[in-house]
Amino acid sequence: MKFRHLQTLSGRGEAPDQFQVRITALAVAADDRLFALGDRCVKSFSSAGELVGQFDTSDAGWSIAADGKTLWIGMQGRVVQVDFTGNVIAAIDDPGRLGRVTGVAVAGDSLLVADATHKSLSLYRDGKYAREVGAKANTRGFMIPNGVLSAAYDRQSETFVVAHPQKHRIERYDRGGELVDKFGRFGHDDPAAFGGCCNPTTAGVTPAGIILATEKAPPHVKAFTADGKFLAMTPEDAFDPSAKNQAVAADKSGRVYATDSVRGTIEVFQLTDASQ
Amino acid sequence: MAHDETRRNFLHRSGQAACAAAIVGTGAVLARRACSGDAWAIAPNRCVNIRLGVTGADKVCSSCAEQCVLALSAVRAVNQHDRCGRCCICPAYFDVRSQVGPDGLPTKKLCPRDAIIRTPIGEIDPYDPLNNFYEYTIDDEKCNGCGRCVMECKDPAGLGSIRLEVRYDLCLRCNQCSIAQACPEDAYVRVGPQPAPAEALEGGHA
Repeated sequence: MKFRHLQTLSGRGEAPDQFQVRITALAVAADDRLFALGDRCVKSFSSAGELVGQFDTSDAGWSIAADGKTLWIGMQGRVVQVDFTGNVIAAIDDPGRLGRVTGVAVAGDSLLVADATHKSLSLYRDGKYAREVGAKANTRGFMIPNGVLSAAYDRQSETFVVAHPQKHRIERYDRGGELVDKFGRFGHDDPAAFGGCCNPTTAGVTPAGIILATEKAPPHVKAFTADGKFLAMTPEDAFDPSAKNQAVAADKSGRVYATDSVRGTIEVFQLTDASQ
Repeated sequence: MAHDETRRNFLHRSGQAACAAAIVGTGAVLARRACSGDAWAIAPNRCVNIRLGVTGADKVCSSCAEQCVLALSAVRAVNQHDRCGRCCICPAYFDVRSQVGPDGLPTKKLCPRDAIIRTPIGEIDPYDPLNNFYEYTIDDEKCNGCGRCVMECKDPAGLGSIRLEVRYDLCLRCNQCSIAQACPEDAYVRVGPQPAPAEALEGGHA
């Protein structure tokens, strides 16, 4: 497989489709609509890349996940569920337990919340705290020197996918919060490996179950099969060399969206067979 | 009469010239004496090892290590522990481009003087080295300020917790600092008679 660059969306600026200060997270809904979270708003784009909507958020958001016809937005100490026009449906306010929520993954009534302040994953069911996930490690949680802990839900395997930067691997947790699989290793010369001190930085999953992992220095998006076999990597010049902690999301058509934190853009790729 | 005028003019001009030379000379001596105790510092936005946008140990500038008149340069690396990620595979400690060993770690160290000490924190997991935190401290007796670790630690690859500092307790405060003369980026600057207070130096050295 290979990543083919299709187009660039948004950017830094004051135009309606741009973000002035920051772009932090992406999510793709079931109808392939792209939702981009940044500044203090959510902008939605059609699969053709046209801006189709926008609404403000109550606070600066750090993460977003789509589930059915709703969105979950992670903020400082809370996670808010809204419809596609921004009307609040529900909220989990847990400032005593949650810090900066930089990752949200939804699986039915379960919500996995990635907290970069406490370097921990919290599992909520029906809006109530259930347990901490991944706390058995000697390191007392996740080691995230990049300041971001991300999570995604893989509908194919019904597992949560989490990037663990300092362990240079992707970890899978079942819906009960138990570690069930992991793949990845340190290395610089092999594209299948993760280099530097702390990669992969974030993780995502395509609807087909392909794992997406982002890397910094230099920034990449890498694609792996469900069992960790390397498939493809984005071109070297796709992102600003200083970009990191890219948000990543994918739709049913094989389009992969990734943010460039320096340029403020959303880079759109098509994941195709290498022969195409 | 004209002869006296010429002689008077000559004496007048000679006196003026002598006075001017004395004033300039005294000024130069005083200025030199005043500057001889001046401290020096590294401007982080100029130093190629510190400033953002230049990465890779192959691009490191070693002027501070090589040009200081001291046998071991007065410039040393300092790790600011509250910013350190305590990474298992620290790019400032390991040569991350070296071959990976059977334990999954790079086989070579980055520092040519082996001046970085890596210590596991807390309980050690012998079965999974990735399961541990590590503290990295700079051995003050070995570090010569070559800047390789600073170059590899900085953003975006690292967190930028390691920096280069002029050690005021070691610096001879030469008026004509040889590092400043050699620095290709004019990053080694005179900061005046009072050294800037060191920030979080405690704990930065072994």
